[in-house]
Amino acid sequence: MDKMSLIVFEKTGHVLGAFTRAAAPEAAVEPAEVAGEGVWIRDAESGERLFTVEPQHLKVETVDRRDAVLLAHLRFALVDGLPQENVVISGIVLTATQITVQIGPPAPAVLKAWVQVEGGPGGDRVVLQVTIPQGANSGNAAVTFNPGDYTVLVLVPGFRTFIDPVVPVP
Amino acid sequence: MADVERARFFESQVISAADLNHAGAYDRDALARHQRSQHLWGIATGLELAGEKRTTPGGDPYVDIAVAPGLAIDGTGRAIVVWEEAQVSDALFDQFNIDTGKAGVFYPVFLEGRDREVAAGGTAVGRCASGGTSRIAEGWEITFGRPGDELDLDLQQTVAVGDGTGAGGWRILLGFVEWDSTLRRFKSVKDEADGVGRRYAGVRAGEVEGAGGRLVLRSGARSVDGAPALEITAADDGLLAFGPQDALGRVTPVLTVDTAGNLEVTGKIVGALAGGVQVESGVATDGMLLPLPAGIKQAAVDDGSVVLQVHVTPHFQEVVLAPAPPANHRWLPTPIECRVEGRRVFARFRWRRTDNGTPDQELPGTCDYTLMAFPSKEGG
Repeated sequence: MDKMSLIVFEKTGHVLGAFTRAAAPEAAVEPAEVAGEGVWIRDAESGERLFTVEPQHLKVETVDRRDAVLLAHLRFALVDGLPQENVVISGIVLTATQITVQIGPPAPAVLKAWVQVEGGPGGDRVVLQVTIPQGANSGNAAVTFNPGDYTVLVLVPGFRTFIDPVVPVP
Repeated sequence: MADVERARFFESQVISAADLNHAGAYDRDALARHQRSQHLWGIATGLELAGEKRTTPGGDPYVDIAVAPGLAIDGTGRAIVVWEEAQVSDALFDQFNIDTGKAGVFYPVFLEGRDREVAAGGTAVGRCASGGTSRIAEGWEITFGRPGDELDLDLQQTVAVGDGTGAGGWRILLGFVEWDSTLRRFKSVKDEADGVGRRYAGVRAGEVEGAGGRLVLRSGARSVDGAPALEITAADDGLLAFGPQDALGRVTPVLTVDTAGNLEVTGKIVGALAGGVQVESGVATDGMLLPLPAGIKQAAVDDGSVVLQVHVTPHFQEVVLAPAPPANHRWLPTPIECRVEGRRVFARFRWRRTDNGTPDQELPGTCDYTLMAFPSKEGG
């Protein structure tokens, strides 16, 4: 069967890039070889680069080809070696003192969301983990933000890669 | 001695033993000078070490080792001839007192040339005769070294440029033996240890000229079927050919270069750009770097030794988007961008439902790519 390779966020399995190779479909490849300084995640409307996910957070896995993954890779995560299409989280709320990740349905287990926040008046970059307790619809973490607009990337295990280019902090 | 002198005789000359010895030494020394200056020391033929498995009366295994007949040239130009097969003595090894007592240690076995006076005497006449033997045997002996002694063979002291061979003692490596410290016998024998093995005689030359429009380098005897060989021939306007030879010594080329520089290879060219362009192709998503062909590293691109050429086109394939369109309608893509910078992919699509029932969606896209890597003539 044809193969495809996935650039995966190592902690959560989210697929951040996908490719095929006709000449060497299963040759080993280091994340930096296909990510460079990092995989870019861009605003699909403006084309602006929102995030760069650095290669030390990535791994490359080669699996059986599935066209749906190649066409809409950000919907998928690698679970037990197979790409799995996930549902969208409800959203994210930032306040001056807290970040809240809302997933919608109750968490089937304790979930550790990886959150990257960039922007604001100082161009800050915050990377943190937000724990969503089992059975809860959301999780939060204390963090200080200045008023302004932020760009947020959220990777919750079992949920789709979430990107919001403008999240205001009142 | 400032010059090489040769004997010259004249009528009525009283010829002394020294004159005759000098006449004999002249040819021998000339040959030695040739051997050590125009050849490289080593085994010329034969002299293989072979072990034959034996068992003691108590049932313990060991090997008897013998050296095959052969010829070697040492670093002084001395020809060492082993006329017939000879045993390599374990009692002699024991006398060298080099046993480390450790298992798995291999000791180098050397062949050394050694002059020896032969007991048979000449016929002396008259009261002034000094007597003595009339023959010198150009003999040899087997010696052993400590592990590692085989690494110092190029440091052996040679003789002055005009001299003959000297008295012998130059070590030529024949192989390695393993010693059983308990049985005090040889345990095994092999030709090579830690990448060091038997050294064969060679040729020292600044130029080698073929004869009959042909020059051949063979890795084995002419009759060894399949031995790799390299041939330069003036036939067909000149050709360099490499390949296995047949039993008649004819080279079957797998690689040829003609005098116009055209290269032909029947096998596969492996390695970074060994054969020119290398290609990778497939599909890749927005935001990543296109993968390089196997064996090509970004460092080679950065230092200019490899030049990339890339072609990308939008990868069109129907995607299941929500909300699903009504019957007889579908989501249609329009590319916003599909390009690369360096190897970074920039691909975005706008998806529009043919019934215009929902707002358009702009999403990261996928492109088909072909990436070619060429060796740079200037870089690297």
